[in-house]
Amino acid sequence: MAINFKDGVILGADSRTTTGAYIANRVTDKLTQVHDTIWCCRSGSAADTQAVADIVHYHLGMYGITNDEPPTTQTAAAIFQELCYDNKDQLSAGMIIAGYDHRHGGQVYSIPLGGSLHKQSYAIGGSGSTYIYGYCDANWKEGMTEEEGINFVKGSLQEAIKWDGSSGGVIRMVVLTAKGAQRHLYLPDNGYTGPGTK
Amino acid sequence: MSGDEIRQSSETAASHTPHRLTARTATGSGVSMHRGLTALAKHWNAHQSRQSSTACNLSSAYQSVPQLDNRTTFKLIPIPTPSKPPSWCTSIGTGYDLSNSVFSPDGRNFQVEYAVKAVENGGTAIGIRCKDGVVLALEKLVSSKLLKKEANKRIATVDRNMGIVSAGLLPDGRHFVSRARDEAAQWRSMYKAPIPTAALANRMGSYVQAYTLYSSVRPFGVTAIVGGWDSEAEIPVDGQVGSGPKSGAGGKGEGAKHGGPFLYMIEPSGLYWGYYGAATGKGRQAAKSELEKLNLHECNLSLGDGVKEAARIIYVAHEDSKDKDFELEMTWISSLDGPTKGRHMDVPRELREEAERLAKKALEGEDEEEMQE
Repeated sequence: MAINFKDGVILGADSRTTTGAYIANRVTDKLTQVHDTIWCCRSGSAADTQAVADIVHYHLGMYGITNDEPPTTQTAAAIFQELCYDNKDQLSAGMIIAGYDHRHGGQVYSIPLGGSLHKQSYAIGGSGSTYIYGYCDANWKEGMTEEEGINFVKGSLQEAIKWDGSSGGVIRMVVLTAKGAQRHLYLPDNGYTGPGTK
Repeated sequence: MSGDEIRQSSETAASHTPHRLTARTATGSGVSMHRGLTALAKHWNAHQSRQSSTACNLSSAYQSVPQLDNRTTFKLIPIPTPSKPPSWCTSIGTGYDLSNSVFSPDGRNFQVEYAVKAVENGGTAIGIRCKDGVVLALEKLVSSKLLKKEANKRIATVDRNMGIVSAGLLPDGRHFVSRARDEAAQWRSMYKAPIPTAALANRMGSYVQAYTLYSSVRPFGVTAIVGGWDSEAEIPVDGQVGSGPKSGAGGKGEGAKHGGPFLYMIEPSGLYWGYYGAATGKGRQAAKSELEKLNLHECNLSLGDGVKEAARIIYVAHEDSKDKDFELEMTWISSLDGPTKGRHMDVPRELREEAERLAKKALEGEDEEEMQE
């Protein structure tokens, strides 16, 4: 999932990867960087989403160099959508793109399975998301502080992990603001209270 | 261009004595060059035999050397230059100007320089970067009275927010515009957004430059002025659904300006720069000196005044070719809250005619002042 907040955006994800009933990886990193302050949350096929993210990463790097100016979140979302829509028959990829730039501030885009593009104030996706539509709708506020935002994301993901068998492990987050990207980690051992940014 | 003109212009270039040709040949610098020089030597020798009765006897200048390998070699002995050398004795006839992708020994590409000559014969084209928009104007020389007035537009729209005016060969200009439109469309399909003016200028510069590299093509006979307004507003991704948080995105940098007017000029060599004011074509010198007087770098000129100045400058530039009929063609692109709302379009007829009236008046005023002196 990814949300807008007062100073930018926050991306969050659990860390479970499964092959059928087997947990192939319990500490997966589903938050993937495609440019300095443009990241994405991957859900669906690990192989497909990694490949798509790699291609977008390449394009954004190229864009930054050839145009002598960093790409915006829109640029990233447009490239993601182009790839996901043109190859919809081959792909099983649900992407959430979140980024920060000085001109537009924080932005969140969602690209679900068919390859449509939605600009949202917050976006949830993946198998666990079905369990937290109610939680998110009830708890969402616009213009939250960073602390409120982190608690919103953490609370939502904890619910998803609690109810969804295919979600679990640790909670990872990335906070994108004018200051850049900052990673957070919350472990189940202490009830997802830390260690945070340490 | 007449043979006389060619000779005169090239005589000012570095002189290429027969001796230097020998040196070039001995290094065997490429097959086609070699053939060219061989042909040149034959031509020269033939010329000598025809001219053998002239005061300056040159027939002793050449001494054939037997063929050593598959490369024909010949030796030239430096001799006094004839009082009036034949035209091909200058850099023009050395063979260095026959093809693209061949440098002359002093590092010039003559084909590109000839393309610039083609531009210098075209009607004057100018662009002015104002504080709230861009004006493009053209002195369209009318070659026949049978041509419909105000038809056959020469300033083209590339994307909604961008226009191109060019001086030089008309068909080359059309091809240039066609490519620019393709580039803009390709950018849109990739990034779902309008192409920034700087990016278009960059791509077109690369495209034009490629036409200086190959012997199978000739360079563009146009210099093009690209004017555009990059949106100052936040524009959505083409086709996106939804608009994000109602309260707006958080964490925006305050006070920074985005978008605005842009102006670039691309030359036949592929060289391009960004300009406050750009001029090309026959009357470019007069136009440039007028543009400089506007102090465009201070960014004080409004778009409305820019239109009037553009018309006046085209009229000033036309002074030197008064015998030819011309039409003033003028387009503009304003900011989003200006008259064209960020679009590239024709300057409305009333406004253009008013600007032309003022331009004529200004020129008459100049004449009167001169007479009073």
